[in-house]
Amino acid sequence: MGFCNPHCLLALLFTHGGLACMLVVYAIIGAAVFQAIEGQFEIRERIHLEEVRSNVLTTIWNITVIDGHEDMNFTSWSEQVRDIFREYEHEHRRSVIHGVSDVLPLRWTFSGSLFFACTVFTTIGYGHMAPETTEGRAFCMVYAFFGIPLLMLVLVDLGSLLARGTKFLYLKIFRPYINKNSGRVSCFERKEKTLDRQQSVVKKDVKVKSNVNEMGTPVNDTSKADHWKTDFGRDETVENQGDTEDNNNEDNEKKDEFDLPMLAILAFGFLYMCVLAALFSAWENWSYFECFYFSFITLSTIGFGDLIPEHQKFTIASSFFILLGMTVMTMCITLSQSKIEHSLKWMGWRIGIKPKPKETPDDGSIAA
Amino acid sequence: MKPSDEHRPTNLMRAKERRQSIRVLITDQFVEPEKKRRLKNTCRTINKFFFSHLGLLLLLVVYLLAGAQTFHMLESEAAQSEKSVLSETRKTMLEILWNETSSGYEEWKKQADIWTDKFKHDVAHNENHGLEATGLPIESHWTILGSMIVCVTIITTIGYGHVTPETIGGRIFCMFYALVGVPLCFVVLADIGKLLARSLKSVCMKVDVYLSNKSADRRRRSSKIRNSSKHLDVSRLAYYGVCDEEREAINCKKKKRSKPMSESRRKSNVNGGNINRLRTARSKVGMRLNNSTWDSSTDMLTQTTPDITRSPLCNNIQPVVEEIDEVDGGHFEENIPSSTEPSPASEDDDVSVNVKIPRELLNKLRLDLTNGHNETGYGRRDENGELLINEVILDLLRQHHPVKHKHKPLSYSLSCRERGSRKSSIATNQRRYSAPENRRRVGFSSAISQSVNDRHNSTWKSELCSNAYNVESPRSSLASDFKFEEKDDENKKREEENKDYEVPIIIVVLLLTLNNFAGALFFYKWQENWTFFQAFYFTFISLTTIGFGDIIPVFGGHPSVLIATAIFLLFGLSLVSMTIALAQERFLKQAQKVANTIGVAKRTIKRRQTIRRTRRQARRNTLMYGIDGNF
Repeated sequence: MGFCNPHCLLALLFTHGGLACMLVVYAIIGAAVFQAIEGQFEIRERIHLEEVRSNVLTTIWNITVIDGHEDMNFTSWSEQVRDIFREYEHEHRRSVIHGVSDVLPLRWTFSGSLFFACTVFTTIGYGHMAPETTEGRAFCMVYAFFGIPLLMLVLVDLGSLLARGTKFLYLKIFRPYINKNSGRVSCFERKEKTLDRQQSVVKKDVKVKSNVNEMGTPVNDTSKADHWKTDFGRDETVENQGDTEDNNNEDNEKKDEFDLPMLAILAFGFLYMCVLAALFSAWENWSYFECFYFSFITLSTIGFGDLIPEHQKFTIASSFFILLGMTVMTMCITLSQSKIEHSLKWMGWRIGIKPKPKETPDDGSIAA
Repeated sequence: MKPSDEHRPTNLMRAKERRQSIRVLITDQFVEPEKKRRLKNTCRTINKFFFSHLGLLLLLVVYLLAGAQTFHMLESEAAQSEKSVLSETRKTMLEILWNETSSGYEEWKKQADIWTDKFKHDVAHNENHGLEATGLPIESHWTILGSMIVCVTIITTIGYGHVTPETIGGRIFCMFYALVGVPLCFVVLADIGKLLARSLKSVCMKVDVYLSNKSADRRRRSSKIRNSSKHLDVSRLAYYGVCDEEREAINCKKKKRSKPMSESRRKSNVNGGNINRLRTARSKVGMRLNNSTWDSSTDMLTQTTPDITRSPLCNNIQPVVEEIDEVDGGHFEENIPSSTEPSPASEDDDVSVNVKIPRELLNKLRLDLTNGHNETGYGRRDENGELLINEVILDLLRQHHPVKHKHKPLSYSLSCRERGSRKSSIATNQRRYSAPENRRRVGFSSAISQSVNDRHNSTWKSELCSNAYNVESPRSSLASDFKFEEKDDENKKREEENKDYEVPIIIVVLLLTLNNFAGALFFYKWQENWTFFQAFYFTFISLTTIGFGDIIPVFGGHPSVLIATAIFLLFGLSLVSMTIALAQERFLKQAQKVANTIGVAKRTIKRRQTIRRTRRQARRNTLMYGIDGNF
């Protein structure tokens, strides 16, 4: 009895799509505001720089020509000019610190601001563009304060969706070919589990909450999101979530049944990074290694900012791909989360500081 | 495959395991010499320490140091070979400017433009690579301390970018370092965050309980004044408190909303509703049931020696069961005020059953008691049968109710009320335990039956089991109120206690802001040319791990300040992770509520239908059960 109800399906789609749309709208709003605030500032600064430069050149020309070319030699001329240039250099250094330059194209265009807004709420934060005005900085803080939870929600949502799809794919396509025996055992396990579910108190919310409490990072609340989603009728995931520590299952079968092997998860992440790197190497004139490095640093949200995609016309596409990549990363973390926790618990047991992980009772029956 | 069959072996197995483990424990304690045991304990303590919070922190520090050393080795030479071309550009530019003066203004201007651009590029290059105007590095960025900062920014994913690895080897190492370091850092931060969250929750809960106790005390005091005569000692209350006819009489007297009389009520009314007879019956019942007499005139229970004669009316003793509607969260309330029903005019009080026990089990218990008083096989037979029942129930409840409130011991009261009538009595020392939401209500019957099975070899147990098992009580059984879990750890117990308490989000946000302000103050005091707003901005950007890198504190060569920065960052980040952990629970609960109200959740719809169906069924069924078999 899944959610074949069209009403439910529609509502579910709306939830996923609605969240994604909210994120897009949020990004657009941020881009517009940042462009308004910082773009103006940048334009003013550039004008100022231009003025400074023309002033300097005029001064030099005046010194050179008007004061007389003949009774000056190079040394004395260069003395005077050097001072002027030093000032100019200082001015320019200041503008470089602020990130403004009249040499490079305007940075706070709409697409540039959109890219910047994305770096804010994904917490990548390259820093090649940063708000300089006080209002810009204040707005940036507020924007981040609301945008980061929003993004986490979206990522968790879409990530769990992707995770389900990948598990489904893996189970349907790869499992029958790889391991036929476990497939049969898993059917039996499923039956057993359904019986158990009927008979026992399901502690899935307990387990789910304990998952959350173990690692308090945002991406790890996918299990909660799954729990939420299961109320829409996905019984499969209920089993997945609720029976992670079910002591009716063998350890191996449990691993094969519900968790992808760690290698597959890592490979998936690696694959996506390679694809992204290939994309960027087509757009930019970096080496492939540099592109890969850039995609890794970006997708892990470290975001140094030493390598920045420069071509403005691809910024929207880059933003989209980066967001997609973060979803993939979230999915990988989701898929590997239960494995990591299980191995941590197992390690704790081996060392002797935690009880045996499989001793928790699965159903609510009391044994005196 | 009968479900109950499947359960028994597992339970037996588990019991066996437990017995074995207990046996092993005992033998260990007695057989092993003292020294060995102490050594084991110390080993365990050491292990616990190392893999506890402090141990994880140490691990993190070691990881950082290792990374710093590696980066220093990989990057420092490459950095030193960075040279500035600025001075050369300057020279060339000046020469050209001098030489081009003769070509006329236009030509000169063009050349000047080209060369000033180059000049600017070089200035920017110098600036970005930390080279001074003279072309010499201000300080090497890849000292051990500098590399440490870079490592911190990598594993916390802040990533300022003021110093980045340039060599290929450095970049590859950076990627692998991040691959292992980021999850490690997350684990450590989450660990500390969880610790912080737990302590915050317990503090808030204590404050909350204190405040609510104060208000409850106030309430209780006021209600006590009102209902002093009606207080009954809860633990002595008979489960069967009131006869059926008596209840009828009471109800007639109370002018309740008239309900269509159910079958058994009609039948029992045949016997007559004589009030006097009822009174005698009740007093007899009272005598029989308690160690005390129920003086109906004054409504007081007095202690007397029991008169263990069987009342002729004991056949008509019927428990009044509370048919409970859907548990609204399954709350036991503190101090249910007996506000409404027992008008002073009524001469007696209703005995309240607040424990919700499925009908069938109830019937069986009653049957057992009234039929063969000394043969329930509970093992702890007393002359007063009901005490036993009470005790059993209380025992079960106590055994399986995990929460022991620190301030008040839990005690249970039994209250009954008629269906459709509001609660009509108080019970003292009562507390409601709010169950977590989304609990499936299954299995209390099975639970009770299992316990009955295992503990007492009643003759009727199999019948009870099967009956109880096959009954689906979608309405609240106790299972929905309590959790029948075995807890090994104190931690788990505490977690269970704290689980449902939601720290108000205001406090969490306040904590975050305070943290931010503290950091801002720290940086403002330390950096000379920063305004407070700049310091605040920097702290915010760092704590959210965005890490632009446009403002970087100048580490003026004081390693202690550097270390302080690193510690502050880690603490701040763990606070952030605590916030996230606390907030997301609430957020998802809210979202779920929203989803439920939208009507998307299929289960809600289904549940509503089930509830409606069972309500309909229950209305048709009777509340009162006659011993004559009409139940």
